[in-house]
Amino acid sequence: MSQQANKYTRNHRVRPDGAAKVTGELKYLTDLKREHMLYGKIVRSAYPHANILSINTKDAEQLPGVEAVITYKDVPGLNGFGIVMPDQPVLCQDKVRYVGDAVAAVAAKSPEIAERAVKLIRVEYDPLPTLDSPEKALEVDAPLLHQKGNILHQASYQKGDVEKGFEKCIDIVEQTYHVPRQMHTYMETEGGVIVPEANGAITVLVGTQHGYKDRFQLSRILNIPEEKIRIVSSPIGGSFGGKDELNIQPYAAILALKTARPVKIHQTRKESVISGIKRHPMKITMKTGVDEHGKIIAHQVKIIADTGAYSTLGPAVLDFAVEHATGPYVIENVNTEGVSVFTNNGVSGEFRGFGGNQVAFALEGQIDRLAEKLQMDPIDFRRMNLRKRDDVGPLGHRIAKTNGASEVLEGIASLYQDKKTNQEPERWKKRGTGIAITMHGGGLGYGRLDPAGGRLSLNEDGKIEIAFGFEEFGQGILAVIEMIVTEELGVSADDLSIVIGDTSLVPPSGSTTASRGTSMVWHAVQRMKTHFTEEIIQSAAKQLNISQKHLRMGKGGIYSDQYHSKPLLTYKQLVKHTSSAIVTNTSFDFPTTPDEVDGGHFLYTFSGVMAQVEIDLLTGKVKVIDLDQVIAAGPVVNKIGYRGQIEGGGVMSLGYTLMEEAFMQEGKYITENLDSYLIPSIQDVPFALGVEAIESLDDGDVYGPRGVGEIGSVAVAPAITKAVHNAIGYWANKLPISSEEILNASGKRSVTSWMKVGQ
Amino acid sequence: MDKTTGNGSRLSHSDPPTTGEEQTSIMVWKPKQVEEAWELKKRFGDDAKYISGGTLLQMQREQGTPFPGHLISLENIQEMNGISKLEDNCSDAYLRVGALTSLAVCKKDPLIQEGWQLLAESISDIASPAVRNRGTIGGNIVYGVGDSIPALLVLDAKVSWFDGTKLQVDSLWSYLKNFASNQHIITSLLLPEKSVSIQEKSWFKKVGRRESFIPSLITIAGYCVCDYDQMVVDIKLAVGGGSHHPQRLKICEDILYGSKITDHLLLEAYEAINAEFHPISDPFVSGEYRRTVAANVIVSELLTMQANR
Amino acid sequence: MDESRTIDILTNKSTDRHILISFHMNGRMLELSVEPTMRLIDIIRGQLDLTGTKISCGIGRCGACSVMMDGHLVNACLVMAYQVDQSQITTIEGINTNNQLHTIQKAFLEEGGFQCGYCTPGMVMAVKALIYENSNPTEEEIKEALSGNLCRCTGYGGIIRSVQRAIKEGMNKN
Repeated sequence: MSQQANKYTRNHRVRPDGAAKVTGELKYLTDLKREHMLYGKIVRSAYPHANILSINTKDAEQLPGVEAVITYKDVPGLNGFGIVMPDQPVLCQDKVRYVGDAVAAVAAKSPEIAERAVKLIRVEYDPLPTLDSPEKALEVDAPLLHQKGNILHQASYQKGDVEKGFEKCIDIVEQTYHVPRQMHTYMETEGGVIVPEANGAITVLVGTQHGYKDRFQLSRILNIPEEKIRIVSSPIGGSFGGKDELNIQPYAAILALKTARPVKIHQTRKESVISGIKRHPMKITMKTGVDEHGKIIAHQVKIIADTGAYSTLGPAVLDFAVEHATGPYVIENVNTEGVSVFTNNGVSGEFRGFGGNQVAFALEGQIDRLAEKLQMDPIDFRRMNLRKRDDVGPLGHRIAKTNGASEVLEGIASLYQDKKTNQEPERWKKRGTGIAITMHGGGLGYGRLDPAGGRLSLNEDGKIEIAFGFEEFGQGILAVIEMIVTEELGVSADDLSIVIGDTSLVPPSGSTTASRGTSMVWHAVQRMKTHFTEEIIQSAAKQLNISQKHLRMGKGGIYSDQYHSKPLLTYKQLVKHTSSAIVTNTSFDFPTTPDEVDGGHFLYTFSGVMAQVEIDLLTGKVKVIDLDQVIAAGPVVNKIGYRGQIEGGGVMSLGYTLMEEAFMQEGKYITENLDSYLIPSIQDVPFALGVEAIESLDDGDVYGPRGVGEIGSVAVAPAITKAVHNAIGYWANKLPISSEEILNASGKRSVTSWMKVGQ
Repeated sequence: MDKTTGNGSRLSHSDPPTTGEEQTSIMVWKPKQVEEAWELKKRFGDDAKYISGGTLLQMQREQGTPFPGHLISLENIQEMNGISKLEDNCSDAYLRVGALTSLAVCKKDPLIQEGWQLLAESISDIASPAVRNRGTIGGNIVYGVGDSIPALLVLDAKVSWFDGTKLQVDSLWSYLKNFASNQHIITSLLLPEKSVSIQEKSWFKKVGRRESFIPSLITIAGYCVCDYDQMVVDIKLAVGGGSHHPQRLKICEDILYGSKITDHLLLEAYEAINAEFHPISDPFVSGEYRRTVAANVIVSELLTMQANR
Repeated sequence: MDESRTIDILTNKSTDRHILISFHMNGRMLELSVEPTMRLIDIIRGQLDLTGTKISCGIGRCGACSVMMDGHLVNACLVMAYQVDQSQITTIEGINTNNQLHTIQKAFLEEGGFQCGYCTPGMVMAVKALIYENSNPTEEEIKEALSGNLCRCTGYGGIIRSVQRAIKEGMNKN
């Protein structure tokens, strides 16, 4: 990993949560037990689409050891949830719309009794036709899944006149791309414990990406004030966007309130597959044309997203896909139209990349196909059409100036020169190399509530307490906070107390999503450090009777400018004799574009990816033998964390490209566990993954390091797809790339040609 | 699950996805003799299952197939253990592998590695190291779909089983053909020793949707011996994979046997595989794909035996 | 392994179908009255509250519940109580001595061989099983040894670097 000088990377640090993780001592929320705790289990729908005729819980209630059975009648407040629109019933009353719909839940003295109890619950259904594709759901006579109809959301972007543009084109590529339903596959399935407290309050010990948002949603459902709900939500065994929406919280909460006992729910993997949200499957048609100079002048995009049964963040995902449909290219005439359609399939929602990964596969596919048609080098062709430092964003809105697109392209171009091997593979194997690039917006975008905030204080133990409403789900936010605060304040990690993941202790910081964590921590500390330092120094000056200008904060305490070896006053001593609390708060919004463009982003990150594959001509299997990424996202805060995010995101997308699909037939999952839903194992990845960070920002950029949670996952699929094409001349239009199609495409069914290939 | 009987029909459902522990009163029996195990099975009938490592049954339980009321653990039956060389009264020599031998032990055993490498190779492709430490070779065979079976078929393995009165021995191939379910107790595997020939080749290939730890889409094993004129003097081909019961490709073997390997012969062999192998389709790949891969792999391996290739 | 002779008898409500099993857990002898088909993972996490061992797929396909049984790596979700009788079980809690991090754990910490950490205890056990048998494994051997342990966060890069470091440090010690 190459870097320029950067104050954050001077030190090699281990993560604050590391020791507890490698020893297994860390208690995840699904590891918790409480006295008198009950075990909850949720009954999900037997059909993807049906009317509920009756629900009989009598037998279950009478089973010894069962303490409560709940149905829709037991929901105290709003029987619905959803981050934006609460249209998903907590417990269905008269209709089920997908196999993950909850119908009842039980709490019992043991998991075994709970298991038996759910089998005793009899639900009568009247099955309805299953709308298992957007096409079916859009038919005129299709039954309506929601009152408003089967269209969740439409979004579009127009620029110039695309029809006129095509008239001027000398070459046009039109192609439809299909991308699958990908599962987050966090290793820790959804779960935790909910504890009833005095006065009708509850403590929710369940992982989420945004504690305050869960508090808000649960308050609505439980009909109790937000102040009475405490959300403890870290640590989390992986999320990737999948635990941002509510999952088991409403059930455990209602059961806990009803029984006045702590209730634990920890979903099995199969329950998680059936109920959990997934990445939106999309059908994307792109028509893209170039003029005689090789300039792309017209680009028409149609996106159909399968959003499943309920809204959750479906509208925002579609908006993001529409925004990113032109990627880092400047195109004169654009017409993008997207529609997100309700179906009886699994609910689609937030997932690392947020609609960007889907359109990047299609867009970079178009670019490569055009380059081939023009007989141009794909890198030169990209260069010719690439956005420049001062160009506006993809929706015509102003963005933070950046040369990132060109930097990652040049970075990957030189890697391509260095690493592209012509090494002869074994007989019956072919190798190929491909590249792809992308740009990706951070934060929620213009017009969306996107507040952030933090708090710095000197606590009673004499620790500098830094508090954020962010969650730790593996991405390493704790390490980022430690690194930024220690560097900006000049203190040591031992001086710090980092507090996150508990609404009773932290200020609101917004959701830990959309690559915003690192960015918002940095912004918050920039805003707070001067004031906080002044307060500390003022207080110390008073105690020491030394002028403020001779004092500074350092490791372990306050130092004078004369005497450097030991602090004059430790932070502990300081707090002992300080009369008033030293606290600095900040709240602000994620930076957005000044232009009124709904959803438009302001801070973008960039990636360039190079993939090399080896294809087995006998079986059609693709193996990725090299995967390198060049990332432009500002200064690296935590080297290990940064590299891990890019490598991890890359391999997650290697899976997306080659093997992952939460396969559904007639609204039911075929892949119910990790024996058939496949994520990459160590055998599927190149032994050495390359990550190169371009850390420079534009002169005058005041926005600091950007988050890299998503960017490493965005442009991997098109790079692998191009590598496959480079090896055997086959263009994959559908993910995951099918070995069968590769075998068919390479014409191996004719024996005679097949024999020639290997020679 | 009930079947939908048309619109408007009232259907009652009480079978949400189930997992984990569900019955609380399962008896586990630990007989020390095969006869004893057999008697227990006879006594409890369909309410009993044999079990050894238990990796498959435990997985099926999690997926919703409950245990029967009685599990008859074979793990304490001494005669089903161990790896040893056997000489029968003729000149034939065998390696006897007890059915309880774990897959990991089979894979690492020096005798197997030296004389029956193909078996070791096939076991490397089964599940993961942790599963191989528990799963047994008998278990991999007894359900009729294990990944080691194609390799064992081309190694001409025999099995020994208890039929209720005595131990029987026959080739694995005919055992699999004649006894579809695991009514018998397989006690050991017998691997025949082969004389080493210079012009011989054996291969094993498992193709899945990922590189490892994956149910097989198609598994192909082969063994071929040629004389110095490239004449095929011994040939065994077997395919299996997924829920497909492994089979020998007899027609293809017959075409190859006694002939000289030429492009023309391989073409015929390729066609024969297409004609005699009819694998199933599933949501992931078609039967056509499985067949093509089988033919590709077999013919490519034979091609390398052709002179000057 | 610590051969202390302490015998802990954990009292459960016994039923006639329960069996009494005795085994060593991280060097300590335990006796338990349990359902014979209870999963080892439920004994470890549920009965003994040793939550370092995780549960994720429940069908032996992810390795999160990897523990050692008689010196061999096993999936605790695939082993049943009656099979545990008279065995030696080692979990992640049992691999460091005197509260010192094991070389493997140290390597994971330094190289970032984990992110969310949920697969980490199982992964560490798998690495331990590998290095115990083979102190200088090849790339292929590392891959094979860890092929049953899935990690969704790291993309395995950090894990591979951790294993390489653990091997190096282990060899330096010898």
